[in-house]
Amino acid sequence: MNFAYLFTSLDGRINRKPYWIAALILFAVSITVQLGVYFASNIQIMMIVGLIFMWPSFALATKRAHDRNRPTWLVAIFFAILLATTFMQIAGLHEYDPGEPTPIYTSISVIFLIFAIYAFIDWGLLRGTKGPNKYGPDPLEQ
Amino acid sequence: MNPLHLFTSVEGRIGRRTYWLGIILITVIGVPVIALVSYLGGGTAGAIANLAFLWCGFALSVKRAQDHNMHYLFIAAYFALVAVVTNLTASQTKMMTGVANEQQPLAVAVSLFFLAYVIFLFVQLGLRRGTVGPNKYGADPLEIAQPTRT
Repeated sequence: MNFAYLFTSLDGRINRKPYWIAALILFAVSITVQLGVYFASNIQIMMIVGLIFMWPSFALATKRAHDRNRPTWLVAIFFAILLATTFMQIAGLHEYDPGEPTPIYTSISVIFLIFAIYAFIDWGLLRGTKGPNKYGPDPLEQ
Repeated sequence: MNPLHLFTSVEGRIGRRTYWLGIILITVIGVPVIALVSYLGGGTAGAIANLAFLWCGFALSVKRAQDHNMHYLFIAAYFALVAVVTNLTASQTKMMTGVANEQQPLAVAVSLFFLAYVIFLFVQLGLRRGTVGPNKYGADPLEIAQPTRT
């Protein structure tokens, strides 16, 4: 499996197996790195360091979305919402006081949750377009 | 597959598609029903409704585990761990309100183990294909048109 392609490129299609293998590896690495940073410094630094894992996740999700014949911008919106919530947390704009989230943060989080459920089912569980689509040939037929 | 068997019985095997459809159905029906029952009938009624849906999830997961030739105790262990971790988190939150940022090594260790176990179950139940061909829990659900009831 070509991990450089999986984690960086936005071109082409991937099926569910390489998607999940790469996603699990990315998850394990990011949890380990972020926990290490958290114990060495604090939660703000941890979240800033966590941003480096955003691009590999975006590249993975984009190629899986292409397999489902979904446009790149749909995945970009999903990651823009995720980025917005992360920046609010880093800047401390997500709550007035601990346990009192701002209405804007709450609304964005609810939208993100609904989007995430859709993304999990569409990009994580369902088979891609049978045969070629505009992003390339069917990875399961090669 | 017969829905009564799918959501109540702990016998036989199911494939990934059936499993995920069942999980989505339990979530979509369970969340509003539990909220409504708790609202109308109070905490005890809500807890009973919650238990009913937990059983459906348990039955579904046991059949998916058996598709991998795994014993049902793997699933029972998950539910036991959820109870333990919930209590640990609650007691730690209580302690942390008194003493700021006190780390409990046992709670952290149990939580990390729980995380690893959840990932293992997610991969095994949600992503990986079951035993090819028959195993001791029945025939391969992907090789037969009508799943057999053992």
